[in-house]
Amino acid sequence: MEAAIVILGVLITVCACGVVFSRQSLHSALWLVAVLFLAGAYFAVLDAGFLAVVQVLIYAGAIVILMVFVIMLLGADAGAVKSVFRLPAYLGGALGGMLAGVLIVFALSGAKVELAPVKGSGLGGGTAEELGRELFGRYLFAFETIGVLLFAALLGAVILAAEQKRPLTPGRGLRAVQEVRKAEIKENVD
Amino acid sequence: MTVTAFSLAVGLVLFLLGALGVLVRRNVLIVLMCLELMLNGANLSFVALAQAFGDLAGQVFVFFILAIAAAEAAVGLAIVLCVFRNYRTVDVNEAASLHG
Amino acid sequence: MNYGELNQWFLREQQWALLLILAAPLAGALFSYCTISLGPRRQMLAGWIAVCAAFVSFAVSVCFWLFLDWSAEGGAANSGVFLFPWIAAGGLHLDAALKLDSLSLTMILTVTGVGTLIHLYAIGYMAHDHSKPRFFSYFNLFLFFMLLLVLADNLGLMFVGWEGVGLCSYLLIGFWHQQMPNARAGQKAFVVNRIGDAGFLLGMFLLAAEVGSLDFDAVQDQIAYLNPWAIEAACMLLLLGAVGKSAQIPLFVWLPDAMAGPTPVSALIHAATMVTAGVYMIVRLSPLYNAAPAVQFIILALGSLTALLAASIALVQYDIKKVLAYSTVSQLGYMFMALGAGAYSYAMFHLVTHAFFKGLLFMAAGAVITGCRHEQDMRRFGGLWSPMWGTFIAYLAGTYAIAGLPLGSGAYSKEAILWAVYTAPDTAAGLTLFNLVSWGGLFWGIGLAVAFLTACYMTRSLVLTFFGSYRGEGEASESSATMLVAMAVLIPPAMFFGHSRGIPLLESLRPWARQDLLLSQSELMRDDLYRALEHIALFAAGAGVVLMLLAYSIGRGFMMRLGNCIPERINPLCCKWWVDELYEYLIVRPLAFTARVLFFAVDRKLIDRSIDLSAEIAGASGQMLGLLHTGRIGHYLLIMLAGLFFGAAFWLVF
Repeated sequence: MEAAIVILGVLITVCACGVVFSRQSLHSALWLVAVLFLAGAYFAVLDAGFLAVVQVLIYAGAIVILMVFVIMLLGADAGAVKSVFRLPAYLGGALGGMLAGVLIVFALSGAKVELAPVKGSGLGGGTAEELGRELFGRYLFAFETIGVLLFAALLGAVILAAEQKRPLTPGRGLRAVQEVRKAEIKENVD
Repeated sequence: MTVTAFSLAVGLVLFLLGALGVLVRRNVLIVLMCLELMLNGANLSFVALAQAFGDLAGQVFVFFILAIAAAEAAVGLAIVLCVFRNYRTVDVNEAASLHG
Repeated sequence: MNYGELNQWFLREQQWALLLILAAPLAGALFSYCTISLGPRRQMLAGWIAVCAAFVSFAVSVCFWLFLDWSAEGGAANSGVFLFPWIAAGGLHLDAALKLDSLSLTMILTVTGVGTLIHLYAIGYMAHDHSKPRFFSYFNLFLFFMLLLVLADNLGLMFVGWEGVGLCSYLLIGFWHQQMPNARAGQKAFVVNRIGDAGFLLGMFLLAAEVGSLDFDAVQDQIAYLNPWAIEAACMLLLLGAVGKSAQIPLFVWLPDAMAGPTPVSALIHAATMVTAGVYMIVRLSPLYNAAPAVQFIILALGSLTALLAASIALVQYDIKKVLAYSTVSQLGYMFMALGAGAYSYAMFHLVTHAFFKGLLFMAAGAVITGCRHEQDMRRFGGLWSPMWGTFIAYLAGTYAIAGLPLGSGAYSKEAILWAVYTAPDTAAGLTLFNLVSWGGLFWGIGLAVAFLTACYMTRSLVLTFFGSYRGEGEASESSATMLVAMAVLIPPAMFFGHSRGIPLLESLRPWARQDLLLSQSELMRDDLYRALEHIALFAAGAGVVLMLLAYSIGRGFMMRLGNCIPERINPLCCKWWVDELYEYLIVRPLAFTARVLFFAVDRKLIDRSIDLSAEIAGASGQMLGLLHTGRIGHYLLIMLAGLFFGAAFWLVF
């Protein structure tokens, strides 16, 4: 188990670097697919079998495909750059490094809290059944709410992405006012 | 070094790499992908801690994060389309109408 | 219900009645303005609403006169109503309270009586005007403020009415404000009155500081304890207010210009009622003025000078309304002479008779003006007695009364004043002029000259307007029925009010009379000096009338040559003694110059610049801070991360 985790961890890090530092967005997307697959494998190792499947299905299967579609839509080389790094990038890197330091300090100080894993935990592999009981039991309300969120996001995406074929037209109330005005003008002329 | 600590470290690295990408990349699509990286770093930590404490709550959270990531990707990509339609570019620095 | 029960009932409800006097015109003002939503033809309703409101006030006033006992010696009846505590600041308490005694009763009877008739007259006069609701609303509002002024039981509330009538006067002078001269005349009246009002206010402050109260009764009680100089100063300041409102030297210049308003306005406000407010105020404060002999002397001098000056100007005016306007100033001068002589009741007497005959004269003049298509120049009138004989009779009666011919009301009041002036105690420390003539004698002489001049200019206007041949264009026609009715009703009081010498009136005003004044007919008739002076005055008036009749009938050529021998440009009468020009160069121009200097030097350079500068500073700092907003998401994220980092570091360290 340990060996598998170490290999997966190294691979994930390498692939993540690929995402960040690729010049072309399509390459980034492919690296991202790799990261997501590897993360799925990592989940499986860590007793989260169902999540591993979902990760591959939704992330690698749906989201990244969506991104690739958009990349193709906009033109594969639309955002290609010659150089990834520029002056603000170093600044960002430095800040990121500092943040990393802080987080590591956090992690080390958190290590003082009991982080020892409970061997043979009662997770039972994180199957769909286990997770389903939790989701439709304790977390039912949150689950339904997330459904509403997804629906709203769906509508928003449709409205945002839909091409506006015609300009906005006045509604019924405004039309009525305009008609009255026209009639008045006509009367005055008469 | 325990499995949990190593997994948390991997999650941290993923998160930081994602943050770095968001900061330095100007292609809005790559920025979005780096956001996914950051989310995955968080996911990895959740799963590791769920395994460490034997509590399914961590996995449930990951499930929700997945759903939110899907929503975010959908809306985000729609916005990218709109931006591209109006600016003919995917460079986040070009779409800077709000500058003072 | 018989008369006795009615009387009892009225006495029980008199507080409400007193309120009704005030409320009716106010309600009338509101309702008549509401007719503005009706069609142009139905807006005539505004006039009738206003007339009804004025008449209600008049009827209630008459009830007060009939039902209360005004003849009781010493403890004459009075009525009052407390409305609400108005101002309570430190030691000063002012109540909104009304007070009705014989003095204010005299005033409200005059104001509402003449006011009702002029409202009625205005219906005819304004028949073809397009803003009747506005006119009648202002008219009724004026009536309300005038009644408030009269009925107030302290100086503060009186000042509200005082300012209110000033406002209505301004609004009505400039009623046809579409023409610039009218608007300017309104402004002039307003500004000149403000000068007087400043004096009124200062006098009021002084009294409040010295007495600690502005109630008329309280002031009267405190007089004995006051510093004589404070009394003189307060009286002088209040006199300034009265001089402004009642158009005396040096603030009389607004009244002739005020004729720019519609003629009913001139009749009601600038002849019969509002301009007498100054006289009323001094009568109301007469105990105070009795304790200020120097100011009394000033009043006497100002009044006589104003009377003479205005009468002399009236002699050469060709605008019929201007003649009447200067005549009004002159008659107000008479009232001030009476005030200065301490004959307050005579001043009130002349005030009432003047309201009658000057109201009548203005109405007749207005009828002539409308009859001749808004022509006001007397040179274009003439021979109007036959086409408009009703108006002619009214004007004749008014002229007869004001000229002081025998048995006219003006004769009685004027002669009483002349007598009072002649017998006035030598107010300024017993000074006599070159030890020959007493001051009283001198002022009497001036008054006599004014009586002569009055007869002259009124006869002149009568002759020019109604006799001879018609010099205008088109046909002259008689006015409408409402105008004639209003004039007809006013003829008898204008002619005959003085016969009884307004006995009940003068008797009830005894508290406001000098101690040695004679009040009843029999008393006066027994006084040899009075009869001698009366005959002299009658002779002077008669001489004026006869002289003018002769001059304009057989001596026409002589008059023409007399007029031509002095060019109008340097004739002091035609140029109104250059008073307007004097003010223009002495006050208006320097003021305007100072204002311009201040505008360019202080306002533009200092105040405007500093405000601009603060705006520029704000703008520049905004520009600079705006540089932080690059619009680049990366920068924002960077700053956010930096914040996160420092926040986390802070949390870790502490």
